[in-house]
This record gives sequence, C-alpha cells and structure tokens, in this order.
Amino acid sequence: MPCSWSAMGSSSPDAPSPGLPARAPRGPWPSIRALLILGVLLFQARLAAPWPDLDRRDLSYQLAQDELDSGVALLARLGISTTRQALSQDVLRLGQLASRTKHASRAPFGPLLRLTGTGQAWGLFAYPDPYAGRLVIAARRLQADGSLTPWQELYRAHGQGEAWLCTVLEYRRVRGVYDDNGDRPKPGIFYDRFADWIAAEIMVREPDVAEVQVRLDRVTIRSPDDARPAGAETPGKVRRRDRAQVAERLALRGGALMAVAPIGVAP
Amino acid sequence: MRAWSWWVGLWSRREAPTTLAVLRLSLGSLLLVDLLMTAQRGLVVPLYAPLHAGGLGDVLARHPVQELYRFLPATAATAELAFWTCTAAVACFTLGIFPRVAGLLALLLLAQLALPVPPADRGIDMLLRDALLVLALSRSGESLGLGARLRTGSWLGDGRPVPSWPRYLLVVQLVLLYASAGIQKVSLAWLPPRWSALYIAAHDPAFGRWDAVAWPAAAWHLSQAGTALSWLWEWSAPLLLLGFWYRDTADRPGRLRAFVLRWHLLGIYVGVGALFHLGTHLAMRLGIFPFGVLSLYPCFVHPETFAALGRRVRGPLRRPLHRPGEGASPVI
Repeated sequence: MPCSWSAMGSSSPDAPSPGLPARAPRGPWPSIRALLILGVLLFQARLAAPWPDLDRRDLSYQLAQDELDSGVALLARLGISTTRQALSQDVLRLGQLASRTKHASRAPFGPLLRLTGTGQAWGLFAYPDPYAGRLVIAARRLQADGSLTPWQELYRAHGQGEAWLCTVLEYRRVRGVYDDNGDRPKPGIFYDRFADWIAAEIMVREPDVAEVQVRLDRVTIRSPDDARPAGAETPGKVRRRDRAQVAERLALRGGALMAVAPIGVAP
Repeated sequence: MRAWSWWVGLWSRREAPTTLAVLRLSLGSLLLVDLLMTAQRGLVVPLYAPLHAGGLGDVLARHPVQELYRFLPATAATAELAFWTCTAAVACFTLGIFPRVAGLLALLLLAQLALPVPPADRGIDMLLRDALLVLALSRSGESLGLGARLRTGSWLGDGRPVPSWPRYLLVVQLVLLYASAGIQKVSLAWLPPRWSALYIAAHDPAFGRWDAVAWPAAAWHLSQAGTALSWLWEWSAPLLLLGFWYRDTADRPGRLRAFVLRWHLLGIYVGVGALFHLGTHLAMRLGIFPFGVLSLYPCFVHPETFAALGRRVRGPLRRPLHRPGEGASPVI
C-alpha cells in the first residue's frame, strides 16, 4: 500500500495495516498505564477548559467595555433586556466562580505543574485588541553648552530605529514584558523594570544620552467595516529615566552597568 | 468491559520509533535555536537573573522562592549556569545522547527559567514543555540519534517497535490546544458578520508584519475569510480524533468513514493547519509560535509513512528506513 503524507498510515478502506496485531497486554502494567493516561487526559482537559477568569480590573479595560456593549446589544436582539452594569456584574460572578473552580482543580497537582512548567492555557488571540500599544523609545542628549536636545526617537514599533534596539525589543520574550495586548492590560511592575533596564542599556551604549523616555502610544485599530473614527495615536504609560535615576537603581548590579552614572560624575 | 479492553489495548500499541525520533529532532532543534537566540541578544541575565543581579524579576521576593535560587546562590552566575546547562541538555536530547535524562533535565531547567519573569514565558513555551515531557518519557532515542548509532551501528537503530502512546498523547495535545483556543474565541471580532480578528491582530504594532501598510480591499476580505476559516478549523479540531478512529477502523463499513478515508480528509485537515500557521507567520510576527506548533505536526504521521518516504528517497535497493518489527501494532 503506498503510504502518502495524506494517508499518514493506512487510510484506504481496503488497505491492510502494515504492522502486526497489537501485542497482547501482559500483567497489570498495561492496565495501570491506561488508567494513568486516562487520569492525565481528564486532568489536562479540565485545565484546558476555557474558564472565564475575570476580575474588575479586566472589565475596566476599553476592549472589555466594547465587548459588554456588544453583548448588551446582542441580548436585546434576543429579547433579553439588560444594561452594561448588570451584565458586568453577571460576568464578574461567573468569573469568580470560574476562578475558584480553576484553582481548586489545579491545586492537587500545582507543585508538579510548577516544577515542570507544564499546563494547558490556550487563548491564541481570543480577544484581538483594537486598542493596542505601540512601543516608542526616545532620548534627550546633553549638548556642549549643557542644555538638552529635544526628544529624538530611538525606536518606534515596529522596525523603525536603531538596529540593536529592534533586535532586542522585538524578540518575543522581551515583547512579552512590555506589550499590553488585550488579555494582559496591565504591564505593571515589569514595565517599570523594563524601562529601568532599557534606559541603562541605552545609556551604556550612548554616553551622551541624558534622559530616556519609554512609552506605549495607544493605537486604535478600526477594521474597514467599522465607521467609528480611529483618531490619532496618543502617548500612554510614559516612563522617564535620567542618568541619576538609572545609576541609583542599578548601583547594586555592578559590572558594566555601574558605568551609568550622572554625566560629569565619575562612575 | 469491552471499552476498557479497547482502551488498554490502544495505549499498549507499539510502532517503529521513526516518528518519535523525528519529533525529538524537530522539537529539540527548535528549543535549541530559541535558547541561542536569547543568548545572542544578551538577554540571559535580564530575563533569568535575580533583580539585584541585573534581572527583571524579583525572584527572592516570591513565596516560595524558586528551587534554582533556593539551592544555589541568587547571582547572575547561577542564571548563566542554569541557562547553559539547559542548552547543553537540549542539545543532548536533540542528538539522541541519553535523551530521556537530557530531556527531563532540560524540562526542569526550562521550567525554572520561566519563573523569574513570567510575562516573558509565552503560551508556546508551555506547549513545548508539555511536548518535551512526553518525549522525555518516550523511547524517541531508539532511532535517528547518536545513542542509536552507538548501540546498533546504524543511525536508524534496529527498528524494534516502541510504545506508541507518546505519539498519541501529542495528537491529543494538539487537539486540546486548538479546541480550547477555538472555544475561547467568543469575541465579536471572531464572529460574523465582522470576522475582523485577524485584521486587528495583524495591525497590532506588537505583532503585525504589515501594520503600517495600507491594506487593499481584497486583503481585508481575505483576512475575513482567514478569520472564519481559522475559527471553524479550531472548533472542529476534535474531529481529528474521529478521523484517526476511522483510519484505525478502515476495514469497517460506513459511508462517512469511506468518504473521509477516500478523500484523505485527515491529511487535508492537517495540511490546512500547516498552511494556517505559515500564513500567520507571513502576516504577523509571532516569534517561534508557528514553528513551535509545526514542530509537533510529525505526530500526525505514522512511522510507516516515514518509512515509505525513506524507501522512495533511498531507492528500492537500499536498506529501508526501518524494519517493521515484531509486535508492531495496527496504525492510527
């Protein structure tokens, strides 16, 4: 029987199996293995179940507000009258219940999942974010007369700016630290540390840089069927770091980063 | 009782080790490239070291402190040591040098490296660790590796059958991945009449490859078709298992079974998935995600298919890629 990619084995109804019959299970091991696999599959399927784990902060995000409005409109068409407030309360109650159930189901195997870094949580752009963030990094340089230049962009997502910044900032792991995609609308503490770190990296490479600005400009994405105006990009989540701040924050780290000291002060 | 016997028999099946070995090579290579990309960008210390040593994560402030920094000094040197040990373990796993031990060591270290900065650890990393765990428990090193070469004198090993269950588990893993992702796609952007999800995602400055370019009308409609197709494809992922069932019971009657088998719908379905991942790679910058998932696609291919491909490539007079051995099971 010709084996092709699409066949992936014997797929023709009249084709014999190329192998021999299954080896007859001997002893208790095959049953134990089958039982273990059944347990693993049930547990993993439970982990993969799409629990709507939401809290108030999630619902305060613009994307969630849009979805709630659309939900209210959809329910109205189905003859169910509700408001955004009432619907958000219902969603929150469901989210809290789901969160409790999810954590309870994980609990017995939590340490094992943590130790192996395994699990099941797959969104894959479940909520594409029409209010995305564009990372922009700008700097001001110290001039000979002691004044600072206007802000100059060193990087603008995506792909515009200094090559080394593009390479580092667009690497998926680094992007995960700062991107504020819809399902993670709160860069929070890692975003601040990211600003410290990238400011230090820039100042080490470019000694005349006196101040670095890191920001996520809000970009409103409208699909062609959406008549609402997109509007201009607006600066958001602005963080500024000068040499004194960077030197102070990184003083304990030693090595090359110690070189980042206030201009005019020996490192 | 009959169902239980079938279940026990299913997970007791054996097959040539070729597919598992190909999976080991594809997954291991991908992990290796990803680790080296991290090092090449100078990100080992920022991503994995403690905060006071130049990292972005405050590993000592968490409870419990992760094992790496509980048992070793919380320094940049420890992060470097863990990272390079992990890289070496992945290399050994890929090359088939004690792949089970190397795979488990790599898994534990990858899990430790994921903890300092959780946002830097993406969904694809967890999927790859899931697969690594399964392959580390399998006998993927029986073929296409240094160990097999040293043991048997052949790169292909001796062709003795190995348990099939790791491959089956990876098939179920991919079905879970797609089905779970599909069920979560209840955002209106994924639903008719908008079908704007791919358009929006492709215009996100963090992900879009062509976000700054004005899209022609045809591209918008193409993205709508892509959105609808990918939604439908993910929702129907559990049907893959039905396809495997039909393939396994090809000798039974049934018009639907005959139709599915005659038109190779299983292969077409998997092919659409591969094209979907390659297409999203062309439209979006998703890092290793498309290639990470595709590295697991060999699990859909029965070893006999690889053997047939090998025979075709190597010619009829050469030794086959593997010799179906005693105890090999019916294929799915």
